[in-house]
Amino acid sequence: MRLTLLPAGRCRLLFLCLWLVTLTGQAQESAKDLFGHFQPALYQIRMIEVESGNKSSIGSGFQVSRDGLIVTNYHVISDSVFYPEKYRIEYLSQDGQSGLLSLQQIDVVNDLALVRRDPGQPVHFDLAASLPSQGDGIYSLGNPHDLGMIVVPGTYNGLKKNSFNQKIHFTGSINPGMSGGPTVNAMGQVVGVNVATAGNQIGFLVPLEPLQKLVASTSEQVPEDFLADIQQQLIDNQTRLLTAFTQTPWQLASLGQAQVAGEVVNFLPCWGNSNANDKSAQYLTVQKRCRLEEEIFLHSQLRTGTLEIEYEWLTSDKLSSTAFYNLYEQGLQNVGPGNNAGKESVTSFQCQQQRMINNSGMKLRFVFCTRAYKDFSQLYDVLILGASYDRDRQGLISHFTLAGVTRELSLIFTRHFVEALAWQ
Amino acid sequence: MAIVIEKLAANDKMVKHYLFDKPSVSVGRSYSNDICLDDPYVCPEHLHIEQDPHSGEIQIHDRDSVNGLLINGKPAKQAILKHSDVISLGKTRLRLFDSSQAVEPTLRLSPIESRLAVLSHWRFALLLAFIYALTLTYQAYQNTFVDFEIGQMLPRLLSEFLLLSAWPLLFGLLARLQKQEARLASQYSLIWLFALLTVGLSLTNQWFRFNFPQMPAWNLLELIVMGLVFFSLLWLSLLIAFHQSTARRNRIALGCSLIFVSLVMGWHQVKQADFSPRPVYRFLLMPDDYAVGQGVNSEAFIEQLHNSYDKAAKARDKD
Repeated sequence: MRLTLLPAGRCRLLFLCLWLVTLTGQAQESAKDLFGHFQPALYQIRMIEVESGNKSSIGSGFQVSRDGLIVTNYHVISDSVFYPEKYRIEYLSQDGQSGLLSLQQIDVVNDLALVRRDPGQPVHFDLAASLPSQGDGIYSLGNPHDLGMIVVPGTYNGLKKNSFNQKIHFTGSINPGMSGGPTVNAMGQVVGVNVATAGNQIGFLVPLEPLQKLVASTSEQVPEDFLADIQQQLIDNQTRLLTAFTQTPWQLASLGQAQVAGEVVNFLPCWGNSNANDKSAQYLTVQKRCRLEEEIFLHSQLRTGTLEIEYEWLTSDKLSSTAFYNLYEQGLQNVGPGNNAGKESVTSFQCQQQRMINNSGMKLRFVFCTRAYKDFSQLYDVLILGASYDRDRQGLISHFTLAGVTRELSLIFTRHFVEALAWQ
Repeated sequence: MAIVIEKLAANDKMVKHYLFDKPSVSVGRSYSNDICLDDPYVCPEHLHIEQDPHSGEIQIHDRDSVNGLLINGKPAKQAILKHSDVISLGKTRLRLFDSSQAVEPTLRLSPIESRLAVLSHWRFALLLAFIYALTLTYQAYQNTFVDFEIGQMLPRLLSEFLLLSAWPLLFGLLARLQKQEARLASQYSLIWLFALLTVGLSLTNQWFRFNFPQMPAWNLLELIVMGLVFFSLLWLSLLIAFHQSTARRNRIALGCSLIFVSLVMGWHQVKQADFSPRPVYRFLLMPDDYAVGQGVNSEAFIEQLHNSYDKAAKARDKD
């Protein structure tokens, strides 16, 4: 399953909303009331490209306090963080007024941003005290594809299972342009912020907790350097993510006749495969791939926060040893990072190769590559690819990639990774 | 004292050589001339040549010909010639000089030349081609992970052989243009030898890179060896194809090798400077039997990884 961040509405008119069909009479009533009452507190958030004076992308936002604080998604306003000279943030209210917004706080991990309209207007949303119960009707508000503000009724389906940074699973259509809009309960209190869709009525919302934290942080000073702030948030997040991996030796689980890392944490789903049913194959391959199903959006050219661990065990009794090693070698030529990053954001990978023997006595050859982030002096993407070479017709390929980590953390992780490889 | 007349080709190479032990010589298209030229632009009685019996000086006269005489490209009625002068009548080019003119010193025959004699047998060339074909087939067999079919190998071998034929054919052609033997058998033997040598060197290189990936300056060494192989191939091809002095052959081979090496280096530089979103590496793997030692332990391994971070940080700071 792949999550798609709602691209801040580049108009695609393909999905004309069919939600009206599914409405019950009662929902219609409350949706109408809600919309009518809170209309002034809903905004379209626009990134204005300074040179052309026109909008380059749009999203939604909602006011959460009398003094004009507006919550939206970080990915809606990310351009203005990285290119403050090129972009400014503006709002467009329901009555057609527009004006400048100033960036107050960001939370890149949960994809939230707080901006201020000065002066505000009196109507604003309140945050709910707690999350609804599963099955409750909730309403997502926003401006899909620049078509105008709409209400999408849907169902609260709890928090997404096995995820590291939690998201609300919302059954209802969220579409591009609705990013940053609120999802409210029947009383009109905000329970989440629209953020992503997996298609087919599956939507994801930022839950209450990070939202409450963000709104509470307004008492703090506006960060002087948002990039430094982002770097700290990423370091904190990655430290939290990798703590379980770096504290104790990893449990081993078998893969073919090899032993590799078993389940270290429950938020890293693994998938398996093999070619055991292919009778004509000259070799047997058994694979295990684990991948964190979320990534952190920094800007259109840079995503980070990914974690991937992969193993492949190969064996053959039909190929000669030389042929087997040629086959094995071929499988090692094409490794890539798990996250997208452009030339503006990162350096090229710097690689080194090395033969080593780990504490379980497995002889391995590794290629280790890392690239540095141009905007964040402490962060690197790291990947490793290893192959055992001490058995004649058997091999174990091991691989991980980590995105947006510090040198110290990734080295400890690497240490644990290379030790968690053994023969049975 | 005698008059030497050389008939020249367009590239100033001698085509025909005449020697006249008498003081005057006539040149023209009619059969009564000492030299009878088969050139429709030459008059029946075109040119008269005289040699001064005392000084050996050679003088020429145009005998009122239609197309006249050119000396080094300039029209002239009559003239006293120097050794290097080339005269044109019609489309024919001649060089005239006294027979006492010294010839160029004898080239020393390279000792390698006699050893290369074995290359000149077609049987040897075919044997080498066969060995090379076997090597390629064996390599392909070891890289096929489904059922191996020898029939599929043939087009590959054929295209490989055609591609490599470009080199011997080129030198054969150049030699022919210089009015020398093509010596294709030797050229073919040479290219197969070098193809086999390259296979051997690349296996050695792989073994080295597998065992000692951190070896400093290995890239430089690889480049130097590549340059040396290219130099030797070119040098030997020149030796077989042309008659030229060793110094000249060295100059040509060295110049071309330097150009070759700098092209390879430039290409690497360009490739390295390009941003690539994926890591660029070549992973070499061999079974334990080929390994020297068992590699470093985990601590040393982790310690060395700092290098990559440092390099990445340096690349970031450079921008």
